[in-house]
Amino acid sequence: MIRTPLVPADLAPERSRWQTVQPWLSTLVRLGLAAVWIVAGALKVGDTGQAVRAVKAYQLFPDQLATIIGFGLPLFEIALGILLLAGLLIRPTAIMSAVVLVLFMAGVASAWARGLAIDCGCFGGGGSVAPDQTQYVSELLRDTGFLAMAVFLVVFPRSRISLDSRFEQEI
Amino acid sequence: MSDKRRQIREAKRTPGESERNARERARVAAEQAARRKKERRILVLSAVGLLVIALIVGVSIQLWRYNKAPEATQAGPNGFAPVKIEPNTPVMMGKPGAKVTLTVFSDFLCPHCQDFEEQFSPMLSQLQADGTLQIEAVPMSFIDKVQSANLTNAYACAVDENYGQQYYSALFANSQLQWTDAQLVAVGKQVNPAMPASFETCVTRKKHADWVAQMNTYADGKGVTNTPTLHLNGKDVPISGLTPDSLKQQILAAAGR
Repeated sequence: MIRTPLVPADLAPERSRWQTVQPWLSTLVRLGLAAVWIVAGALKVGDTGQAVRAVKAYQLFPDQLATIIGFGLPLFEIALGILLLAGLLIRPTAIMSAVVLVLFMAGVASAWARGLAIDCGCFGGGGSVAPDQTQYVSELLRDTGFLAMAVFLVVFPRSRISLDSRFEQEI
Repeated sequence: MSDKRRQIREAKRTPGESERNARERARVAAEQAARRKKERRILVLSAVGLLVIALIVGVSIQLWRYNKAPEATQAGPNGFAPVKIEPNTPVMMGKPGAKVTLTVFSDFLCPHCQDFEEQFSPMLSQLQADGTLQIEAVPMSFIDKVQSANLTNAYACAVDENYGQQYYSALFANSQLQWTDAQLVAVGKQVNPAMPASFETCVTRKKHADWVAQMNTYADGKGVTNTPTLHLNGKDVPISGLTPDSLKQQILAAAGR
């Protein structure tokens, strides 16, 4: 699996160390983010009613649209997870992940700002909760962490054990 | 192989051919790169195409699951004491004379209530059946105020027909549904094939809307803000770390056994 380094040996050692470490670091981040998406999608995909109610609780979309989002979003999350796991189209998938996470955070922030008391429904669940049971801060912090992972992959998509890496070598 | 043979032949010739050789090598490399690129494009297109198809199929399956007919987990009469829906009064489910009362504050749409029902109801219904326990149901409506209220109203309608307990479990067991009135009526027919027409009118006309609102007030009055919340003979049972076994021990202890 380990291929010859892409960097010429006469480069500064710091740089070459980073060049060796980065693809493995990216692999770690990529698999982590893949797990996040797959788990998030899988926890929601079983209970369609729940997923739709979680979307409706944000009161951002008309019912019909909320229903489609409730059905589609968990599947879309799993699709992103599968692409990241396979390491195919890493940068586009990472960009898409970042965009989706920003939208999630905007949704949670807007619910908070509008004074709604809801569960984000990020990993299943969702719907209204008692006003003292909201967890907007921790939900936003968690999403910030995931966003950081996605942005890292946008900047450093080159990663080991990926389908993308099978093609980059020879070109 | 003809490429290679040509290369060997060329290599044997006079100087000046090495640059032609280099050109040849570059051409081969470029061809290889082009082939790689094409392979990659095929892989990407088929993977993305496959995922899009899977997404469309998946959404269709979800749409079907959302709209399909409900399934009852238990059907037929249960021999519990018949109850009438009375103002400001929760519903008792169990045999007359049961010593222990477990009050369950829940919302039919609350995910943790579904988990609770799934894990605990086999143990609880056994204690109900042997006359030890009756369950006092306080269904609240806050997860989705309109829909939770519709479900609670339909539950009260089922209580009228003496199928409260079966209907209660069936609502939790079918949480993936959209819960149209038609689906709520269909659950009634599942738990009792001979469900009278009065049940349907009760569901569609929201006959127990007042009682539904009173249950929220009742729960507020008991200081309940979280679902599920359990009160054993009126005393709060902490839900975290609770297992069917540990709850069973507490119920049996309360029953003096």
